[in-house]
Amino acid sequence: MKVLHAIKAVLRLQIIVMMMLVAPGSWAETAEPGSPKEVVNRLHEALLKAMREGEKLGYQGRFELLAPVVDQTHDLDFIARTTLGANWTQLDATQQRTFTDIFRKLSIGTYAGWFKSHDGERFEFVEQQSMPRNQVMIRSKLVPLKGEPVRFDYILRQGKEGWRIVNILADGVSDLALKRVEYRAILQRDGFPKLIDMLKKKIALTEED
Amino acid sequence: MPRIQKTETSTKLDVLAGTRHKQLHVLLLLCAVLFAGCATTRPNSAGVDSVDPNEETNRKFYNFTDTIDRNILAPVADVYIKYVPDPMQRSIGNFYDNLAYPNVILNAFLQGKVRQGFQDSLRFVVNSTIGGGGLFDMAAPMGLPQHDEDFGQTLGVWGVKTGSYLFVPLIGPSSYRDAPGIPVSLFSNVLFYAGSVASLAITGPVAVLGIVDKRARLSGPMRIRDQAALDPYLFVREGFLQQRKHLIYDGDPPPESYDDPLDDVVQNAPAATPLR
Repeated sequence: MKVLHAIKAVLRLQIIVMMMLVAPGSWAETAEPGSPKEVVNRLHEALLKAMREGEKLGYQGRFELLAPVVDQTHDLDFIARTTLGANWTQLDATQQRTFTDIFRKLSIGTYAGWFKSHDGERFEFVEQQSMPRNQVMIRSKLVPLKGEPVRFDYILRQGKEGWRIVNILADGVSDLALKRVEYRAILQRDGFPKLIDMLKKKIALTEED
Repeated sequence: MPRIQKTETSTKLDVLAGTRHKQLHVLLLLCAVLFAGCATTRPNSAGVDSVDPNEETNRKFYNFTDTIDRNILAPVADVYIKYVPDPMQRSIGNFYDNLAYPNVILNAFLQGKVRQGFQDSLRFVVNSTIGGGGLFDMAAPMGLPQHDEDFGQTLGVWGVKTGSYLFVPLIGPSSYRDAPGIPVSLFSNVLFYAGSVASLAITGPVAVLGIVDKRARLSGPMRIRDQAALDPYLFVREGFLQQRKHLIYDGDPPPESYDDPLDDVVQNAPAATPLR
């Protein structure tokens, strides 16, 4: 945690210095603490760190590095609930807790599994847009040294704890929408225990190379 | 590197343009699928997904294609990826992209993108000549980047709705709107006409290599599917439908095109079916 605080402090200092010195229009210029842009920025910084130090940290190290950042930048409870849609209310409290917990592990594990090595990639901010229901979309792209950039668009909503990511679209494919369709089908077809079982297997898969 | 679904939609269709026989086969299959689809379309009732009324048939086609893919195409593509040097793979990919490029030009014009259409025409000429018959992308550094257009996107731009989802055997995910694009891309592929000039001994292997190239390029998204999907059929379907929409807006969809999952929660809340 100390390391994270140090990074945060350095980042904040950088932002202030940049605001004072650098011409307006840069990424950091309007990224006030807690703003949608800053939330996404914080996630990106953590992902880049996980990539740069990926090998040294290993899967577990990356998971531990990303877990607090994902918790602070995503509204995972909300995402988990929305993923199940109307089925959520049909689960009892224990099942809801089990699902939320597994879902959190899968979300962080997926990041830790994918962002594990760095080859000059960088994130670029594209734009911020207002969305219906007081949501905000932050559009960005992951630019590799070679090849095509991948678009990462984030939907954020303001909850009790400030702005949080509630959906991610990778090249236009909505993570939440994809999971929603799959989870709902499996719940209806195979039931809750089977869904949990399948998700556990997927978490195990994220640890593999 | 996270690459998600990028090329899942650029199906293996145009490389199937190998021989006349194959073309006929593909068209026949297509007709069969379309007619089967029409015959089984029914009003949206309980248990039938409105985007996929033919799910039962589609799943059969998906499983059939997946079996062939895992047993024949995937192992061949793995060997290709492992042993063919990257620059050569890139050149081979460029070559087939260039052969299929008239489809992009045609559809750029059909969508009213006149300027882009002329640029794409120039790109095709440059790459076909100084690009060594398409092996080298000399046009991109000259400010003529590669675009991604097809007839399905054109119909989308014209306002045609997606229609029901279709999984076309051996070809891949499609829809009522995208399926007409299959023959269009076939007839606009240079390889289609090479058959009448060159002998089968040449066009045959060229077509086969084209299939391997396409499959090799799909290996990234396929790996993501295998890692992430709980139900691979649904994963491919949803990924495909969303990415098509993304492509119709040329990768820059307006905010109002965002399908908010919250809409669904609100709408379907009272209609939830009991869980098992």
